[in-house]
Amino acid sequence: MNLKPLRERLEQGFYINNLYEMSRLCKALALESNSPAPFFIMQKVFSGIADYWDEKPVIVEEAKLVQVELAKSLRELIDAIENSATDEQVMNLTNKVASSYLFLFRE
Amino acid sequence: MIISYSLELKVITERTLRILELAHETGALLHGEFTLSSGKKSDHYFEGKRLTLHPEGAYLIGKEVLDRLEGTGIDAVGGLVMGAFPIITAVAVESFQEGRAIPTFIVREQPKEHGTRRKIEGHLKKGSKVAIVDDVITTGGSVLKAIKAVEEEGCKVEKVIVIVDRNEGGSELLKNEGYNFEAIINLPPSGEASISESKTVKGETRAGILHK
Repeated sequence: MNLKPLRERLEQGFYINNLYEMSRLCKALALESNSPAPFFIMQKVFSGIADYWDEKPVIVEEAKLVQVELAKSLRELIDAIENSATDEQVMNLTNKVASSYLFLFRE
Repeated sequence: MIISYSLELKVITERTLRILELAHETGALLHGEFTLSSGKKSDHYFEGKRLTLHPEGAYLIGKEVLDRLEGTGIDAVGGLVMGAFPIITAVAVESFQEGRAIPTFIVREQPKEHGTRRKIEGHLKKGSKVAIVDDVITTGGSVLKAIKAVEEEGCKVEKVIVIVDRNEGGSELLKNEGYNFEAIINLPPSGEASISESKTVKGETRAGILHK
């Protein structure tokens, strides 16, 4: 499983076209993985943000805040999957990503 | 907003001035620091539907586009969903009221999945001369999709009109490809809003440039 394209996209930042691309990559990874849940959650997170921002004025500071809050836990999750961390560790990091997203977009 | 007169005189109409004012009043044109879909940063944001779905906005845009189509000899006017939808409707209504009814059409993003599988809806005859409209042009993707769709039907694009040109490469691309392009409002990268040079078919004229 090649996570490099997703990692590279993540470093490009949070903007609509990139979020949809990351969502597409995560769906493809989920389909080829025996443990699709983390990728499925990441896909929903990326597409959820993109849908929320679509056709709205996205203030630079707001985009930065979302990126700061989510990028670190997303990187940790990708690292964990890549380094074959335990299921429990991966699930904990998946929950962290989901919690951050739900907190940021709770309304 | 301050109206200041520049040495670079451009002829603008009361109507185009009002369109720019209304763009601010309706919240269609915002100033600040925004992240665009492409990731580029911009100091302005334009949400066309806030202007084109506003009663006065629709009326003014319909009249403005219609005037800019005068003398082109086009058979129909259309564009890509969603941006073009309210514009072409306004043009259709206004053109009928003025006794020079212009048929309109809309281009789907994707062909209809069921039934007719049509990509173009409305009144477009093969081989006709058309104008393409949109609310905003950035890189030109939406406008080019509409152009490609009508050219596949053997139509000739005589003119492209947008309400706002973000000056992010789209208009240059179209001009380089030989299309006759006009924008009602130009948003230079500096963030200074200006009315583009416009015809003075109707209404009083005023010379100047509008700064934010």
